[in-house]
Amino acid sequence: MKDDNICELIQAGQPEKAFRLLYKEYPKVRSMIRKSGGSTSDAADIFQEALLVVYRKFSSGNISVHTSVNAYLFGVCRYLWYKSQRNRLQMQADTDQVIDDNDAEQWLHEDQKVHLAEKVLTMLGNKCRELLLGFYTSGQSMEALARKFGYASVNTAKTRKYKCLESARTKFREMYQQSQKK
Amino acid sequence: MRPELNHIEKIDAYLSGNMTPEEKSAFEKQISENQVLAEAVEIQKNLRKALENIRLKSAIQRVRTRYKIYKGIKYTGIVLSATLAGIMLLYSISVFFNGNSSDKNEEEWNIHIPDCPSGSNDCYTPGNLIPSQEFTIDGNQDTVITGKQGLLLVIPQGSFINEKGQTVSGKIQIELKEALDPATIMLSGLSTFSGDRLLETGGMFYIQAYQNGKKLGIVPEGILAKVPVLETKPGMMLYDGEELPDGSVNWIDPKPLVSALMPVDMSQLDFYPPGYISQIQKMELNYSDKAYRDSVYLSFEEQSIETTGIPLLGQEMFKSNCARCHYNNDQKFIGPGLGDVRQRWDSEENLRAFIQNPSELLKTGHPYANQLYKEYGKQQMPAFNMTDREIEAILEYTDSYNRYETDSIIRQMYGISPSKVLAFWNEQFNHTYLATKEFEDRMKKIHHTCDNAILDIYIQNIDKDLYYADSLAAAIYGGEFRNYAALKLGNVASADKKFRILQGFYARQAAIYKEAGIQSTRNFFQKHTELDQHAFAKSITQEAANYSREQKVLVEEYEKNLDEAYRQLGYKRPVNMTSSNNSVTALITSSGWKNIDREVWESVANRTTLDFTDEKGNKAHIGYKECRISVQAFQQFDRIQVYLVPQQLSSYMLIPGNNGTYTEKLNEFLMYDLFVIGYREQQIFLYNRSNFPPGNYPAIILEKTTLQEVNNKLGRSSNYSAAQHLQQSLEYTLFEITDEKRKNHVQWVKKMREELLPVIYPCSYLSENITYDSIQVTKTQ
Repeated sequence: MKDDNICELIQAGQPEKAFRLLYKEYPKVRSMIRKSGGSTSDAADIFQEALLVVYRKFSSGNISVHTSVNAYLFGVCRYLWYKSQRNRLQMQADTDQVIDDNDAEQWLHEDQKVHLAEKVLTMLGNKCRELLLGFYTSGQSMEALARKFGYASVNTAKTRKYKCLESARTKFREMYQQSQKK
Repeated sequence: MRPELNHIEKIDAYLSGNMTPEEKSAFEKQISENQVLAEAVEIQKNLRKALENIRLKSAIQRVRTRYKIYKGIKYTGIVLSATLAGIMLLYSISVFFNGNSSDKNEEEWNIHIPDCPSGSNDCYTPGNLIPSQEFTIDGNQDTVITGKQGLLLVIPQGSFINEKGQTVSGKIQIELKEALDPATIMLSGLSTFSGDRLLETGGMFYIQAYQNGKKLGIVPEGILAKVPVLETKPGMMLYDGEELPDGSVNWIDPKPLVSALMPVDMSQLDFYPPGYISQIQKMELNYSDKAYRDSVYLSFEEQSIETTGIPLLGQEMFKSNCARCHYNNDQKFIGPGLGDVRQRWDSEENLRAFIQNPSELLKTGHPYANQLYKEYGKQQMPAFNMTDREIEAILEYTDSYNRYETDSIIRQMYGISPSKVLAFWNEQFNHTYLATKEFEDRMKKIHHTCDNAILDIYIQNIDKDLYYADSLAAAIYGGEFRNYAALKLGNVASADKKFRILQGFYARQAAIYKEAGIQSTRNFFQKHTELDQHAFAKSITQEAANYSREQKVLVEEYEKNLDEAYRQLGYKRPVNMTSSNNSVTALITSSGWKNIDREVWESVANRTTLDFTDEKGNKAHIGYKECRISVQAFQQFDRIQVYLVPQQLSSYMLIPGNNGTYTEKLNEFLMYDLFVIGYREQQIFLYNRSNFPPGNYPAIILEKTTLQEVNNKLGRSSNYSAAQHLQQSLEYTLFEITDEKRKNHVQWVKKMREELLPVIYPCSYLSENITYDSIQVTKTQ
């Protein structure tokens, strides 16, 4: 029931509410990570990463989990944590039966390029970023955004949006080439 | 728009799926042929994915912040020990903690939390500059630690747990950091932010326990920290410190402070019923002597009856909840009269259900409830959220209306038993919460409840925080105790650990007091009843003796006078006349001389001069002369008795009089000795004169003397029998004076008890407000 709720929320594009429900797993994850030598901020990072995995998986409509969402989330956290520790620690044999590597990997592995894009976006001006976020992620209409950001017309806002995209693209190319050179 | 932007728009449309199938396939064809376009599409796609990521991450960030504030308690408390804690005052409390409707405030949660590169130790650790204080304690013992700046930690045995949640024993190291004064707080660099709200700090401290180098957690019951603050401000709370990645501290999870109570010496507190001291003060009792106050208080133990505090509570509850719409009789007001409410309803259960939620019962179609609803203009009674006990109290109260109708009023007073109060009011309980101003305050309310069970709750839970008992009391009695419970007061910091022993001591003490109180009061009244009987018997004896003595003296005087009359007339007196009371009878039956006899008798009885002339012209004269004696400063004496002892007779005469003036007619043919005796308490004063001639004595002065001296004087008297009688009379008077004092005292005690009773036992089954008068008033309203 709870699971349905979480899935529904994710599919309805209400990640924040879903995350709130899922955050109840955090103490378990945190103590698990702390017990095996991690810090609180490690735990927070891993947990954030895992939430993204869960979100992507369920928002894609690919729901083939045999356990509860919570257990899946915990499994992902363990997986991610041991993965990040793989160099230092020998991965324990009995890590997890809940998820298999490929499954998590599939949803975890974002292109390097996406990370780069994120960085680029954070380097954009606030207004630009908010405009893009507003339009692309929270599904607000151009009219509403124009009003919110004080543009004269919808067209001005549209142009502004494409200009932002353009500058992001330019910046991305630059940075990508730089990273390739290294 | 520039062509470049059109380009972007087109890609955007493609990625958003806003193309017709034809456009789409054409565009895809272009992509497959054009490397640059493909790259541009990919970049745009990545940007969109990145935007989605940013959105999700910021959502997670918000959830996390929210989570830390609302739920942080759970894990900091148990898994991890409290790390940093501060006593602070929130400057603005408004939006922050005012509810769960967080959706409205979504924007509020956009708190910027800067990143600290993970894994690097360059981050500034707060509080680094404050020196650590190390303590080693024994986990098997209760320990009190005092920090250098005055932080007091009270650590009960078994307060620390290891990572498995097991209680840790043995040696435990405790690291303590204090930042309690402004200078140290500044030096520490500790922030005073909770989220983006600024806090006013009252001091911060850090505590961490270790065993063998491993960090320990604190049990959920917690340990008690007493923090010296310059000023206790309202709204101060304890915040847990959460270290943020950038090394700053965010203060979260505010908890109200447990106010540790300050025990004072029991002797400085007042646990008497309210008004007791002022009442005994008013009665000019020796109120400054605690032993005396206690004994008076305890003397009411006998009237103590085990009861619940229902009627008084009921009266209060009725007034504050029901009286607006109901009378406590059978008269209609806005609603029906409640005097017979219990009789009117089919079952108590339904009645209670109706009080608690009328609409629910109406919905079930309960016939009587619906009948009432119609009868009273479809105006529904509001629901009353009352405890069972409160309802019971109201119903008891409404029952009292009927009781009045059927029974005569019996006012049975009751309240907290004095023995229960005195049993804990001693130094043995100096280190419990009973010895606090706070409990003193509660005790007043406990007296008000008249319910011994409430007092028991407080005494049985002295090992727990005060608010625990407060909540129990609130559950039973409600009222003021709810406010007390809300204060969340703790126990005294150095609470005595010998609770069991103390409770045992209390039980014994209470029993002893009870027994002593009952016995001493009973003994007092029993003793005085006996003394009353004794005094009564004595007074009867004395009166009888007086009566026969008076008669005897009278007859004796008569005899003497008769002899004298015969002598003067020159007759010989008939021999059959005996000097007894019967002689009066004999007098009437004798012939010839009865005239003389009767006149002599009348002259003696009325103390008037006899002038008798018989048929032969012989005369007899026996004169009576008035004598008037006034005692100077007679007011000084409790009592004055004037005795005249006729030397020729066998006993004395007691002279009547008042206001210090005594008059009597003296037989001039007799010789008198005068004894005027004044009494002041047990002191005797005397004026004595032999061969006392009649006359006016306007100012007789009484001299101080002793009973012994008077006796000596009497002993020297030739009139032995009269002296003996007088002595007896004197002794009896002394006894009577003493006994009168005793009786007055008993009288006073009874009066005092009557006045104190409603103070000590403020409750009664039928209290004043339910008297006939008040019922009349409500009926005519």
